[in-house]
Amino acid sequence: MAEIFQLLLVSVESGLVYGMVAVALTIIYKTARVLNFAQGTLASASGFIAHWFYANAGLPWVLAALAALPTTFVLALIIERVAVRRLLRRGFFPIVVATLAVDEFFVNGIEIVFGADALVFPPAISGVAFTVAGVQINKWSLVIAGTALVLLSVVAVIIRSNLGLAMRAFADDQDAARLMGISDATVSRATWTLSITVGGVIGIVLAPILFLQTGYMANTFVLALAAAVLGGFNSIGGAVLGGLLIGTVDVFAIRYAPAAIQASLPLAAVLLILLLKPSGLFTRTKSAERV
Amino acid sequence: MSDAILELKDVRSGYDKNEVLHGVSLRVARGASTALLGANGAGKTTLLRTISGILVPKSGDVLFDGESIGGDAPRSIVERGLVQVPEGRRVFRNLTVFENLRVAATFQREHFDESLQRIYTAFPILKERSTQHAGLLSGGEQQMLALGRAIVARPKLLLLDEMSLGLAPILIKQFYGTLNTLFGSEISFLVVEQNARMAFSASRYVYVLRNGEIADQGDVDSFSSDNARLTRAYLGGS
Amino acid sequence: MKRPSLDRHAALQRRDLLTIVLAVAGWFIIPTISSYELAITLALSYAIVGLGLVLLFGTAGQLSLGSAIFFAAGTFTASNLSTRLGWGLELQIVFAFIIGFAVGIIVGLPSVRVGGLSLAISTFALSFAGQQLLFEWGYVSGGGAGVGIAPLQVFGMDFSARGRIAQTATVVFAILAWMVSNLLASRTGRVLNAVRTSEVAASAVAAIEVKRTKLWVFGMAAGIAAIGGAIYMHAIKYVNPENFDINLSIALILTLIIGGSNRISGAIVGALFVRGLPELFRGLQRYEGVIYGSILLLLVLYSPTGVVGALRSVPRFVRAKLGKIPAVDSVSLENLELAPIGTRRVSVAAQSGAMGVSLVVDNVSVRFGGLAAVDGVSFSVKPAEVFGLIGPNGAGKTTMFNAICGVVKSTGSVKFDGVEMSAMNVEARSRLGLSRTFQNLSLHSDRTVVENVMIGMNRLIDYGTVAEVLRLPKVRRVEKEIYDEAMETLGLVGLQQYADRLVSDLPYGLQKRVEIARAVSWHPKVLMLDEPAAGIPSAEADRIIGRTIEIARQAGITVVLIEHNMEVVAKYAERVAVLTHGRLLTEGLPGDVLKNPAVIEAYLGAED
Repeated sequence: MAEIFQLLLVSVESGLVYGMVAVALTIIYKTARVLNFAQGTLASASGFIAHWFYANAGLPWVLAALAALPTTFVLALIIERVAVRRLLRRGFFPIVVATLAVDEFFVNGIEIVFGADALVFPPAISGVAFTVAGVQINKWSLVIAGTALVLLSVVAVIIRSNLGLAMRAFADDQDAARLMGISDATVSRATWTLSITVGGVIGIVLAPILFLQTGYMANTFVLALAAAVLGGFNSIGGAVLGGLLIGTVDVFAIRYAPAAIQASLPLAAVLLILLLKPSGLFTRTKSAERV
Repeated sequence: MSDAILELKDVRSGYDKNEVLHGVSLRVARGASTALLGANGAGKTTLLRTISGILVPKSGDVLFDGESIGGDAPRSIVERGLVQVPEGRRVFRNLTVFENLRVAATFQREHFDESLQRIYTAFPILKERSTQHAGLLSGGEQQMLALGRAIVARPKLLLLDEMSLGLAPILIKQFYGTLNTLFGSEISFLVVEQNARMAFSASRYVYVLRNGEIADQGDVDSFSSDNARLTRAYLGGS
Repeated sequence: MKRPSLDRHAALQRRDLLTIVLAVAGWFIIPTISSYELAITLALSYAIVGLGLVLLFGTAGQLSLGSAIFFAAGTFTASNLSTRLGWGLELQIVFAFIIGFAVGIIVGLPSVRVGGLSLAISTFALSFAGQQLLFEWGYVSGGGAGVGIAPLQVFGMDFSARGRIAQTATVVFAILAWMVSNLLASRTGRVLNAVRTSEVAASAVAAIEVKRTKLWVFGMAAGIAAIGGAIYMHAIKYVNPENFDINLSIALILTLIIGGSNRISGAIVGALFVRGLPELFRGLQRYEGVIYGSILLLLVLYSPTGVVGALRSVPRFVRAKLGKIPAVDSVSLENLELAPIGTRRVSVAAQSGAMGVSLVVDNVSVRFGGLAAVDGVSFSVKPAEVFGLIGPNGAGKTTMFNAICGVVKSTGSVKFDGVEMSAMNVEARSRLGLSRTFQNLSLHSDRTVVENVMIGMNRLIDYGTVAEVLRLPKVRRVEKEIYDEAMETLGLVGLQQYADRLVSDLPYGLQKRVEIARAVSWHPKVLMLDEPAAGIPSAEADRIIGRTIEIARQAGITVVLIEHNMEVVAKYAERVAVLTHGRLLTEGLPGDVLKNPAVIEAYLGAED
């Protein structure tokens, strides 16, 4: 029984992580109608940058993490300006290919700048926080879960602001949004910086437990992708719910299912959803679109 | 300052290689309402999109308040005070009524509260439903919301694209009737309609567009009293 | 007059010769540069994958990020067949293809239905899951330890000497390239392109089974990628699942994009560039991602057709500047001669039984959410009649068309020659003999005028894929016949001289003529015209609609047209139905209907 409880706790923790990355992916999908394939790699870049501030600039953990954020933000601005902006009106292929190019660039770039060896980024606080029903709860797990919840609140606040309103209106009907004076460039910038920064924060808090090596965020990214598909790329809530579902299934599959099944979990989830309900599990289909 | 708030000079416009407007010239008088009529396919929506900056004219010029705006970005045209209520309302279905109104205040934030009061007074049902998603409103309520957004934007010139579409006739009459009280006399209107008679009640001068060209124009009285003239202009032939 | 069909045939013969020359040259040159053996073979293995992606991505427009897994399928097939069974390369290739194709079909089945971004996502997930599964499936993949390969043998002959694998790879590539080129040059190339450029026209006019086509090409690309994997195995001699990660999938597709997605030369150029160069310049390898990522970004921004496309566009640009490519805009439309409608067309029509077919619409409704765009509309179109459908904006006319051809779901009955169509999909209805044009043209914009018409005639082609891949004499004969008939159809609308121009270079009015040619090219029984007069000057509208009606009358084709131009309706329609607010207002003779006060009121608005 204690084991089930522990698995559930881990599920929630993982679920929140996948959920937040899924939120980041959903935001971009809603405004630009594309998937940012570089999301995982960019999130890992933030982790490496934070580590640099910690190991090379000698900043304490929290300051190092905080210093990495503006860097990530600027990086996002550059990527949006260079790779995305001009491709917005050309349909989704060019932007998808552009994100793949960015991904290639950063996978290699990270290795060049930070070296190919795995780096250790010790957590700011470690050890057990407390024990509940025979299950130990790690301090860092609390940090991760807490960070995810903070991110969720921040996103929720931004979505309700005037800027968030403009983003949502743009996602709803681009031409009508332009007629209201909403600027393509502003929405695009806001979307990509928010999305990449959210991913970056997750990359930073996961670095201590996943260890900094190339591709350390890849698995998280794929599962977050599955979560976003489950949520139909439609709403923040759907993405979070999708994340929790994927997190739970993943954790229990690792424990109880043969390795082969556990490996194919994200693929199976995605294919199943696409087959049965392309609009995702957690979407309410509103009145259909005109042909 | 000229007495025309909007002027089109020999505008040719269309999509890609397709030319829909073959040299259109018209003037919208300041402080009055001008109607642009015509059957569908005549090019009315193309004309409005060209004025609002979504399409760039291939040749000719668009002048707003004396200044050339042809080729300007939609955003700056809205900023100047040229606002369009698009065909089919196009409210943001996933935003609430209040959010729809708020999002229209991009350039007029300081006056938002005041505008909001005016809108809620004129359309009490919007106040009632202010937290509902706009997609759930009826056609008539969406029209109210669209007009509300236009009020929030405090335009100098308001373009109305086929307000009558999908609405019951009695509602249409109501809306056209309230335009002047809602917006006051300082505002000019360009009313685009397929339903001519409805537009007459709200307009002073009429242009009829057919196959991308101005087929006829004149004072409202000269049209409303002569059925055949209007039919000819719309449908062509004798 | 020029006979471009002969030119095309000659061009393909030149290509055949070139392929043989290259393969032979490669065979003899390679041993002299055997230190580059590995680089060449690796590049060729990538290029082979590129061939499949030219079909899938470059032509059919489907983005797959799962190539690594199909590549791996081939690699491990080759390894296991050679080490466990002692089979030679020829069998390894055949089985690699079969297994790759099968896995492709299985994975593709749920994914291609949704296509587009969803396909990219599911293949991305496939790359992850597939690699994990490979690690787990130790019997085949050797788990973390990996597997090796037996020395190369082909048809029992020992090919393990130095340089042999590169030579063999060259020959394999040459053969595959020739086969894929044959596909691109005939029916498959046109069908895949049609699916990418206009799915709705492909299904509604050419009766192309879109979903099946997408699945097929996905499987083909997977099978071809597997062949590349088999070659790769022999080049690299030892492999483990670690090699086959998502980065490989991305690299494979990026390779093609860098080269140029829709041409075979792009596959080779991209592969040499992305896979060959780093082998030659080891120093480069360290910076691969940064270099190729930047190049790719630049290409996406400035030259979407890749390196090959950029290189090709230079001579074209220069020629255009020198005035050697005449612009089409300056053409005066009146001077285009319309060829006489010969008796051949009438007799073909008689043969296909198209002497009049009725179209009966009974109580059809189309609902979007709570709104009825079409509400209980009924009308009958008599055999060989010209029937007009008019009404103010938003009345539901185009929705009605879409309901008849099956693009939107509807209730009620639509009978074609007495056959109930409501349970049929778009392609099946088109197969019955239903054709149409579109309000906002749906042409295949990156193809020539004559190819657009040939796509319309797809159903008349009766050669199979095997014949097509080998370009058997039957294929050449049928292609020529189709070409000739397409040219004849173009003659009817006065466009023969523009047959080899890109359709996107033509002015709007001429593009409308191409749509009509495409719609009538295969002798339909019912032709639906959606606003044929829109966007063109009245004189041209009259000319082209008049000619279309003439063609229809000669062949007994029933015509239904949506129009706003009342002069056109009055002149050509025999009967007219008026829709307002999704309902039928009235029907009858054009003269009567257009004078009907209720109709005028519908357009102009009610009296107070």
